[in-house]
Amino acid sequence: MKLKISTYSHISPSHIQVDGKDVLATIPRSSFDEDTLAIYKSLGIDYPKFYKMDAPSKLGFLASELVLKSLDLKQYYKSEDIGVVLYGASGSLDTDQKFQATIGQPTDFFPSPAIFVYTLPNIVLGEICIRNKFKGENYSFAMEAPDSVEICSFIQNIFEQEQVMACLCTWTEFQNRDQYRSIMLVIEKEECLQKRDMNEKFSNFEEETLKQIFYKDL
Amino acid sequence: MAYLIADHIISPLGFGTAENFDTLCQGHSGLAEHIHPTIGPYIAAKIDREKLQLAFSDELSLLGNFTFAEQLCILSVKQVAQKADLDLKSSDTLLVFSTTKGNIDLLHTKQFDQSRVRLGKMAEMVSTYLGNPNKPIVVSNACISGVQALLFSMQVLHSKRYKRVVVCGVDILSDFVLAGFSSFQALSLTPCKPFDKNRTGLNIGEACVSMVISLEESGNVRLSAGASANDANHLSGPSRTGEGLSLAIKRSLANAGISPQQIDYISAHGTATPYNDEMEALAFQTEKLSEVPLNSFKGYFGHTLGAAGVLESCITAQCIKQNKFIHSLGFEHLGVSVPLHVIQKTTDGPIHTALKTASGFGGGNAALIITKA
Repeated sequence: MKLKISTYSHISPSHIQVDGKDVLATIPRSSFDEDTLAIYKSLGIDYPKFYKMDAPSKLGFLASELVLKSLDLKQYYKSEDIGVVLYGASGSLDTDQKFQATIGQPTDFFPSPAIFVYTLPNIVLGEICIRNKFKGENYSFAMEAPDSVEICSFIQNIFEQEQVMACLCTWTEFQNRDQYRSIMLVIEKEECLQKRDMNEKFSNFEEETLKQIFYKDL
Repeated sequence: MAYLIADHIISPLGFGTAENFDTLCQGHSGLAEHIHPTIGPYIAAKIDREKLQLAFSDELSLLGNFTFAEQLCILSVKQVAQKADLDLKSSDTLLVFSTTKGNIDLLHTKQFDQSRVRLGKMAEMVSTYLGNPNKPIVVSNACISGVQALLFSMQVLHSKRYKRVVVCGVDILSDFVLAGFSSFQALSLTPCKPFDKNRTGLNIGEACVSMVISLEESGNVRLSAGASANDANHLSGPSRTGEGLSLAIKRSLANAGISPQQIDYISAHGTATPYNDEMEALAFQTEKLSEVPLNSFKGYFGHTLGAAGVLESCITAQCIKQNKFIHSLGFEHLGVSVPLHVIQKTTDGPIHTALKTASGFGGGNAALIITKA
């Protein structure tokens, strides 16, 4: 089965890109919090839940909004046929440290449920599903660096076994406010894309393409 | 579809699957009262460190450079590899870990390099020590991690990249998790009571469980098929309708090519929080499974988070092998709004096909069909 990357986005301290091209170039890059807020505002969406999200979730959420802004997957697929597969190395570590700081001392022990809920690497996936009402397969993996062979093989498998009809696949890695990166790919079957758009040329979803996308700017 | 070749459990109920299962059948629970300096008394299922030290003293003496969670993984994977006559050094063997918080205690103790709080790093420490040449994979999807790690491993086997997969589920009791669930007011002050009308919340547990699975026809239990689905509704609150779990079950049945009538037994998630158990009951009703004998193992092991799906699938496989319906410990009076057949006494009876389910934070749900081979 031939799979294609219908679109992808990339957010890092040095990039805001869709399909490898800079977007929102007018946003002056300053800090993570200001940048993400600027991206959110520039997208012209009204989604107050964004303000409550932790930093890794904001990062992944915005990367998903960048690709889904111009591609309404639910127009073409049932919500339960759209999957999300997440990969990352640090997961929720940034928020874990914040939560730990609230329980570190017996004299200063005030654990916050609002922080605790974000101390799971898969929460960003939940945020994306809630926002888009994606109800399909949901996988969340930790690995030290993006492994193109593993990622390609797994995604190919879940398509071939008809577990998903379309899928978001992301490497979302938030180490700290200076080192972060989310790459969000939308993957669809070639046959589905062909029915929709005969003119556009899409990249194959394969190891080489993934390597190029994941490692291009490192 | 894949065969279960061997398994091994380290839990408060014992070391080894057989000891755990015998203890369960006798109705003993690993839950006990402990004291936290700030939270005060709490109920949890904690592995007895002294007993563990006695049981594995030779091995543990070599593992001083490893964290508690890593030590458990090493012990458990080595035991299961021995049982399965499995070569961990072979490139045909993949290690898949399932954990929600891994080495989270390191944030507090600072005893080890902080990089090991990263789940992938923890997995690499274990797999390198064991001499496995492949990059390990970690599934970390809150409380559905364990069931999903098994589903993922079945996928990996079908892709023919590896001949055998060791799935290792681990989570340890930590101040972090205890404080978190306490802040959520989700902890029960008494041993938890899944599906009971007086249930007030969950108890945390810890365990490390390994399973070897393969496509080679072997053993007498197989993992047939499964699926996952997201509620797309709320991060920490279960769906009010059970829609996501229902979808995961529906797809699992379809993938296995069976009807609800063929399910003999359900190993539910059953955390004993008011909303979770109600949600599950609704999903089982939607999928026409209300009359199927069901239990939750949380009354024995507590909630072992990322290990839970592996632990409970492992016990479910034992129930199938030994044709046992295990009492759902803590249950007295039905406390959900729809009918449900909760097992009230441990009895013998034929089990051919079982359904294992899990649901968790982030809106995830997963289901797995396990059958006699």
